[in-house]
Amino acid sequence: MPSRFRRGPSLRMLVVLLVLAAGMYAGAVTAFLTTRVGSAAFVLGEGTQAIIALQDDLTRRHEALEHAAALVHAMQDADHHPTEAELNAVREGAAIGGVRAQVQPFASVPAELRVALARTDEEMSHLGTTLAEVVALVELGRATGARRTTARVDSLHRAVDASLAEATRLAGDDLITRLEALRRATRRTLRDGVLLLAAGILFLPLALLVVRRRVWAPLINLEDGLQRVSEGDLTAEVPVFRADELGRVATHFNEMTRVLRDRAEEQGRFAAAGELLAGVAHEVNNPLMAITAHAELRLGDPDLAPEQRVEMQSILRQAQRATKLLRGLLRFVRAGERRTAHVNLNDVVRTAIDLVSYRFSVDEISVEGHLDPNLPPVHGDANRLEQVIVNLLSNAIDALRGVRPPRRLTVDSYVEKGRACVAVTDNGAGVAPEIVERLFRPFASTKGRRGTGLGLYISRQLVREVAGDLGLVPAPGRGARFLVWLPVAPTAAPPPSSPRTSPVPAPSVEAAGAATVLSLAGVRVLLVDDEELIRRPMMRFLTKRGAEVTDAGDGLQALERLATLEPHVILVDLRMPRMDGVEFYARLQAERPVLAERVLFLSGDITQLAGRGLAPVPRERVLVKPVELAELERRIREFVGEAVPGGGEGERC
Amino acid sequence: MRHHPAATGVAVLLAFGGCGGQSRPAVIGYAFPAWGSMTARVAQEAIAEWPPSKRGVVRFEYESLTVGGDRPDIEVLRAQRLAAIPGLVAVVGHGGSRGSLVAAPVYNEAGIVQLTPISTSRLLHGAGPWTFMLAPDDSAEGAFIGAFAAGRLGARRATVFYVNDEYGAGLRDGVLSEFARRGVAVLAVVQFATNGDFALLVDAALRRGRPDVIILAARQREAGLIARLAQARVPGLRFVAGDGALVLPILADDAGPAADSIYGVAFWLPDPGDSLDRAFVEHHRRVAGRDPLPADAMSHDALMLLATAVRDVGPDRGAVRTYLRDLGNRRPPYRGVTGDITFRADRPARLAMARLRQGALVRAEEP
Repeated sequence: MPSRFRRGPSLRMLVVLLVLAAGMYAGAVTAFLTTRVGSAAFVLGEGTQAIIALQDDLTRRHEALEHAAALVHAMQDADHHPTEAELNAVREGAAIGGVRAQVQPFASVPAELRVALARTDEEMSHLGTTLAEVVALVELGRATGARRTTARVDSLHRAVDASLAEATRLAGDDLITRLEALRRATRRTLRDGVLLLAAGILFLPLALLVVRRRVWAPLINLEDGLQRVSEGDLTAEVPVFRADELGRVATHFNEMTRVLRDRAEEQGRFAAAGELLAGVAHEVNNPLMAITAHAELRLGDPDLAPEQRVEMQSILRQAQRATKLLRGLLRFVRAGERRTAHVNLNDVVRTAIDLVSYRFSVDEISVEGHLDPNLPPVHGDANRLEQVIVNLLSNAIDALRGVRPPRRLTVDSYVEKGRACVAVTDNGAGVAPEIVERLFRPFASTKGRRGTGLGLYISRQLVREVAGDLGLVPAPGRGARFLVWLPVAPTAAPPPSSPRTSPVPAPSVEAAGAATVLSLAGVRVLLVDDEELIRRPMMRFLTKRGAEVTDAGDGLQALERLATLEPHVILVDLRMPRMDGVEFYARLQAERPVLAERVLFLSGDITQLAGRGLAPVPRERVLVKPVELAELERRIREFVGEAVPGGGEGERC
Repeated sequence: MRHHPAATGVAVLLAFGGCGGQSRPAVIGYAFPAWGSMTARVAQEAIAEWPPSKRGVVRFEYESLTVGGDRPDIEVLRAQRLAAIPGLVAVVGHGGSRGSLVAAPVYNEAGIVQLTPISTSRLLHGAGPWTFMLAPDDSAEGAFIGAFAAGRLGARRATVFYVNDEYGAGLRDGVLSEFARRGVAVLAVVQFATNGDFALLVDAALRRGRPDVIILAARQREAGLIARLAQARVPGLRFVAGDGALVLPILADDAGPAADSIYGVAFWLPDPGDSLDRAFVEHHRRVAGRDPLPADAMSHDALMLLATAVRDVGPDRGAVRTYLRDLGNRRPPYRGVTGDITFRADRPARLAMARLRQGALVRAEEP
């Protein structure tokens, strides 16, 4: 994290501290109340229990002694010798009162109370033994001694009463003292409880403030940023105030949006280039269509001189090559939605090489390598895989331009460990060791201002999207070697692939000048195109094939023609002035739906087949210019066969 | 239980400075009637024989707390003064059951270990968690006396004299329970005070019948006087006394001609065949100038046990308490003069019957 952010306890530590503080507060309050009031209450309860126990024992003894003393007095007053039962009753009372029957509790009682109780205990013992002596004297008939000793009993009895009263007073005082202590503790606890509550109330906003600043606000900012991104706003940036966990999350978020923003900008530029290219392609395709058509017509002339035939063939070949290149470029820049299917990597490699092949001769680069003819298909998007290979080839070409010839670019395909692999190797300067680690990170470029730094990063992402990977592997000797590997598609037959094993492109040249056949005899064709240069050779070709061709320069003109004409096929260019092909088609659908079913479209824009920007016309009926005349004938024948039962007879509108 | 009329409460303070490598001085109080003060000297000499590394600094302090007998209020004051001594770890005492019982709350409240060497009141079991009894309680002793009287002496009728305190009453209850179990008729149960009119009480008791044996739940002086008076009136009477009576020569002197008719319960009698006993007897003779009595041996064991505990676990009241509780459990029993010492509930009661022969104690035949 950058050091400009404030450092402090981490969020985890903060949460732990808050929980600890809350716990300690709760524990402290509980402990405080328990200790303050509980201890006082315990002391009161303990003392009360102990004193009651002591008083119980002393009272029991005192009552027994009192009873015995009363019996002695009764004996003295009686006019008969006491019975054995009476004597035993006195003995029993003296025995009970003379000694304790239960242990003295060891609760905390005041020292003077403990001494007073002990003194009372001793005096009761004396009273008991003196009563026993009275009984002995009475038993022996010593009346005088008995009376004298009874007087001592009375004296001892008074002393016991006094001691007991003193002990009771002390016990009462002690209980009152304990009660007062409990009251004081309760008052203090009430006061301190209020203070603690106030402290807690003060602590709560502080804790909330901390939580709000450290957790709440960053989360809201983060949520806001995420929502903005989800709504498509890649400029969203979350403020970072601290170097804690949420600060790091926010920093990562900002990094991510920056990457996404840059990528989006790049893609935007790419899309704009694609749009521009599509426009250019339309403008180029029409001339190409005219060139191709004228060349084919000329080649179909049996009287053409051999030298001229060779020249026409050369014109046709170069036009076809330009067409193919243009189509490849359009497909590349306007890949559209991802469409995965079984893909033969060899075909992908060849197409990619075609796209960049113009640079080979310029930069004196020789292309070598071996494409495994038995390479199994992989599952992926051919256009995106093509983008990956083009990127690798472009990087290799850039690298080779920095070294002296011989410059070699080697492209191999092979199967290894059940994976289909494509290796792109160059004998350039190689990748510097300090760049290797960040080579596949966004914006890691070795091309300076020329490079976006996204090529390899995006390429690796594209490959990984289909469970493959892209990496830099050691090159045999000098240079760099990038390896793309993809899992082999589990089933299905491999897509048709060119048997060629060399990656070097070689434009096919269709044999022109085939024998003239009236394959379109009786077929009425309405050809609608604003380009005279296109209409004318096509009309000548179709006418030669036996078709009855009527032409029109735009949609309005075509509608006029249709007032008196009932064609089997209507060939309509999509881009035209005044009324284009789409509008024309719509009018037919609305007004003459049967005729609308007989429309074939011509377009110089490959994107009409690619998905995005598709015109509202049936895609299967779009022929992309430049259309080879033989292809045009085949499509018309097929179309007439499908749409017009009975071949060229057709149906009346 | 013994009672000296002019007993002086003596606290013997054993201060262990640096004992066992510890720097804090440990104080062990000794609250006992004055006649037992010599026991502290004997223990002091025994500690002096420890290895130097374990001996530490031993210091005796005699603190005369009061003079005037072991009245319970005075015993409370003794206990409070002892408990206030800084560094006091434990107390040996007090001498009698009543004194130990009234002092126990003071010690337990302060967390001070109280080890009673010869107190027998069963009430001490509930006196507090810090109070430990070395002697068997009065239920065991009373049963032992009753069994001896009925079995060995063949008594069918008996009279019981008991001193009117927790010692006497507890022993009375133990004896009466055993007599009831054995079918011995009790002619009279007589309580008395230490300053009572014994002649009167003896006359009154004998008027109710002639017993085969008189049980004396009394201390040395009262036991001797009652025995002398009773045998003068009924020659041939035999007496069985509790442990509190076996203080010589007072018992023999006060009993006079009746002395040889007195049996008494002893917690320890020297065994000439036991080397530890012989060594203790010789040591006691050398230090105290007389043969040790059973109470001397019990007090000696109590003092040495606490000194050993402090030496082993330090001058900490809780640690000493734990040490005592662990004896016979986590620790081996303490090997004392009176035998192996534990405080387990199932420990056997070591009781022996002695009798006086020409002023000396000898072992009587077991019942």
